[in-house]
Amino acid sequence: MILTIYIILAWLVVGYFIVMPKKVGKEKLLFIFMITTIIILVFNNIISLNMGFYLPSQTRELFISYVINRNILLPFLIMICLTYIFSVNKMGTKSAAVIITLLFMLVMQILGVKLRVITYIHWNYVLSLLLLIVYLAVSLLLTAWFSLLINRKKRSL
Amino acid sequence: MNGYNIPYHSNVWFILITIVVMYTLQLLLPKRFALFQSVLFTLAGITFVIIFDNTICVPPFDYYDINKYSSFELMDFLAYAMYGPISYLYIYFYDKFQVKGYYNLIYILLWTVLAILAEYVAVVMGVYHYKHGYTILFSIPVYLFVQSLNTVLYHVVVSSRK
Repeated sequence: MILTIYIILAWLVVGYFIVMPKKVGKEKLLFIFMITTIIILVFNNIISLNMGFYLPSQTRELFISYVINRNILLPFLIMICLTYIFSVNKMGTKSAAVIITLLFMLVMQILGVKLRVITYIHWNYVLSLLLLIVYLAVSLLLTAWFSLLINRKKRSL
Repeated sequence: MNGYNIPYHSNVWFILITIVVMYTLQLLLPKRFALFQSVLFTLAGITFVIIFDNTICVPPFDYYDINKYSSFELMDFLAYAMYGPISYLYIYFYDKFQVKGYYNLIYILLWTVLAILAEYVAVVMGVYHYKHGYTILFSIPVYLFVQSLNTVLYHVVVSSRK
């Protein structure tokens, strides 16, 4: 049942991303997905695997739900957020995109804890929120750098 | 923390030498792609391996360990970085030889054989330690899938720009 919930959530988020209007090139979107995935997994390894601050479930169904959250939901939510940031000019819309994305990702974390997909040991929702801000900030900075690479190529053409 | 006994730190040497050789090769080869495309192809290899490793080499699956300890270390990250140029070279030669039609299957199979041979050497050198009945044969479908994804990535990024 829990896996079903995560599959439906993943379908909704990915579906929203596919149909949303995009002014961002596919290279940049691919970069966001890849870099976000790498950042999330490296941080997860350090905080969860090494320090044991929070642990994913050991049952296979719940672990696959955890993987869906880690490798599909979070990267796609960040992709949606950055797509808005790079597509609109209004500061208010950009800020709203960041706040809504952070809230959505935090709700995902709370859902994960409530459904026992992850167990907090020396961790809490405030630290989770800080970690999500780090994911978003690092992804944003690296994507801005990648945009410079793309623009440099366009200028040289 | 008890780790695997690896003589002469052969895993560390294997990873460092592979990284230096592969990234040097990537830099020395004649340019075929824009810098941002090269970055994307290199990242693809790292992304695929980091996703697979962090799914099947941690509990509840826990099919293998990387390097000396089960925990995550800098050397583990470098082991992931090793796969960046491999993904780049796959796409580089795919583009160079203009692989089309049925040759796609042969190309993917050929790279899967190369990847299995490379993994075998990595196992001998102590980079990977199989557990819970995992054998090198189980890596074949993973490589077939990953090389196919690389092919799709090439068509999405490069072909559409030509």
